[in-house]
Amino acid sequence: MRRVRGGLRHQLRAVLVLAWLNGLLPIFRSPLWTISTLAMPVSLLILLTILYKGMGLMMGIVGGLVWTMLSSGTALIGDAAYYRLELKFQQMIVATPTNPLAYAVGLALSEVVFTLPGIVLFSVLLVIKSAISAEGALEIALSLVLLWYAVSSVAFYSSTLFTYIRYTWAVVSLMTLVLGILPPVYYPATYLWSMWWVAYLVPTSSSAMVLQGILGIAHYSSFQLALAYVSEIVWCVIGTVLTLKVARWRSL
Amino acid sequence: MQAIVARKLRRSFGDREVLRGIDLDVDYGVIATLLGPNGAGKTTLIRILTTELMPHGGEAYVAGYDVVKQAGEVRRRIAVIPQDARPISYMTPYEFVYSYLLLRGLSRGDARKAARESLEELGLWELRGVPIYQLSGGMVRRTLVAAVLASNAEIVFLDEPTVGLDAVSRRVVWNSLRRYSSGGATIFLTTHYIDEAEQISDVVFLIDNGSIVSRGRPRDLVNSLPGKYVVEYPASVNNNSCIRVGTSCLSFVDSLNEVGKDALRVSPKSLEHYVLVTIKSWGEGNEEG
Repeated sequence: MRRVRGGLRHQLRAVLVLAWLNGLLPIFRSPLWTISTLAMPVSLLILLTILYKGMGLMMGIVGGLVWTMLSSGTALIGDAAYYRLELKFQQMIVATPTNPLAYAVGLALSEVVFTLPGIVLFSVLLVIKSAISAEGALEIALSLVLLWYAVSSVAFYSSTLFTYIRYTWAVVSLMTLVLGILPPVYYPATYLWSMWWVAYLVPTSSSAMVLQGILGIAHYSSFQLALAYVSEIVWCVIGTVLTLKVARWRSL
Repeated sequence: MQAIVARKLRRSFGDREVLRGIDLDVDYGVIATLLGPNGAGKTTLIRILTTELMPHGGEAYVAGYDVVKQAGEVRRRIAVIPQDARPISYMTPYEFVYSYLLLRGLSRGDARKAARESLEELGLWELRGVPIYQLSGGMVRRTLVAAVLASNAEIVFLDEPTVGLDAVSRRVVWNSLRRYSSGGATIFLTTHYIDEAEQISDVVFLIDNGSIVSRGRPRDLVNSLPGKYVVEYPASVNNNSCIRVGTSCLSFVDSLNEVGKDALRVSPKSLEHYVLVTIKSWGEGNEEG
C-alpha cells in the first residue's frame, strides 16, 4: 500500500488543492461565472457614480470591496452544502488524511480566489481614484481580511445546517440583502443618525465604516472606528467558535 | 489481523433502531458484499465503518483500528465512494482523480502515475481531458471508481458503485475491483444487483432490518438451498412446500418433472433465490438505511 501523509504539510497542501479545484479551475473553465459575480457591485458602482459623481464612485468602490468579500462567504455556503448534500464529495474527503479544518479553510480560500477579479478591479479603482497612503492601504487590507474570515467562518457553519440544497439559494439571497444592502455598506453609517450603532451588528458595515473612514468619505470619531474593529474581531471569534463546533467529520 | 471487524454494532435515528447489533468479520484480499433491501442498514453500516457516523453501541475496527477512538488512523487506510456520489462536473476525469489523490496525501509524482494507471484501467484515459459534465453516466461513475482505486487504500468501501451502469461498464468495474483485491486489499461494497454479488464476491453478508441474517461464500449459500431448480408460482397457489415472497411463491425441486401447471417461471437455483427466501422484510424499507 502507498504511504500517505497526514501532517501539517499535508493539511496546507490540501488547502491549496481545494483552492485550486474550487477557486482557480472554475475561473479558467468558465470566466463568465466570475464576471457574473461582479454584476451587482459593478451595477451599484455605476448607479452611485451617475447619481452622486465622485462621492458616489468612492462609495461604490468601498461597497464593491465589501460586497466582494461578502459574496465569497455566501458562495461558500452554497459550495459547501452542494459538496456535502449533492456530490457527497465531503464524505469522500472524510476517508482521507485531510482534516475538517483544512477542508473548511481550503473552501474559504477557494472562494477568495474565485472573487479575485472583483478584488483586483475594485482595488485598482481605489488606487486610481484616491490618494491612499501605504498605512491606509494596509489598514484597508486588514479590515477586509477580518471581514473575509468572519463571513467565511460563519458561512461554513451555516452550510452545515442545511439538509436540502435548494434552501441555500433562498438564504443566500436574504443574507446578501441583510449584510450587503440594508446596513451602511453603500452609504455612511452617519445617515442612520442616532441609530448609527446598527452598523456594528454585522461585520460588513463595520468593515465599510473602517474603509470609509480611512478614505475620508465619511467622518467617524476614533472611538467609532475602534468599535468597528472590535465588532469585526468579535465576529471573527464567533465564526471561529462556530466553525470549530462543526469542524469534525463525524455526525453524532 | 482482519480488515473489518464489527461487534454488536448499534445505531438509531430517533426512535428507529437501524443497526441492531451487527457482527461482521472480513479478511484482507477479499471482495465482501453487503446485500439487503432498502432501509436494511447498509449505508448506515458503511457510514460508521468509514468514520463518518458515530455508532450508538458496540465496536468496530477497520484495518485494526477502532473507528471511534482511532478515526484518524482508519481514514489514512480507507477510501470510499458514498451512495449517490458524483465527481465535480466542471473538472476532467484526470483533474478529479489527481486532486483526490493529492487530498489523500500522495506525492504529486505518485498521484500523476496512479491517476494515469487507474484511468487507463477503467477505459477513461482517452477521455481524461473532457469535462465530466460531457461524459455519459457510466463514464462519470467510472471516474469515481478510478479515483478510489488509484488511492491504493488498504480497504475500499463502495456504496452501490455500479448503479446505473450498462453491462459493459459493470464488467469493466468488476475487473478492476477483482484486480485491486488480488493485490491484498479488501473491497467492501453494497449493491442491489444480486448477480453482481454472485459474480464478484468472495463473501456475501445479508442484512435485514439492521441485523446480519446470513453470511458465506455465494456458492455455499446457493448450495444450502434444497433441490436444483426454483419454480415460481403465484402467491395464491396453495402449496405447503412453497415459500411466499411478495406476490410469488418459490418452490425448490430436483427435477423439471415436478413443475406444476401454474408455474410462472422455472430457473436453476441462484443467489437471488437464496436472498429472496432469507430476507423477511421486503418492501418495508424507508429513507434512512
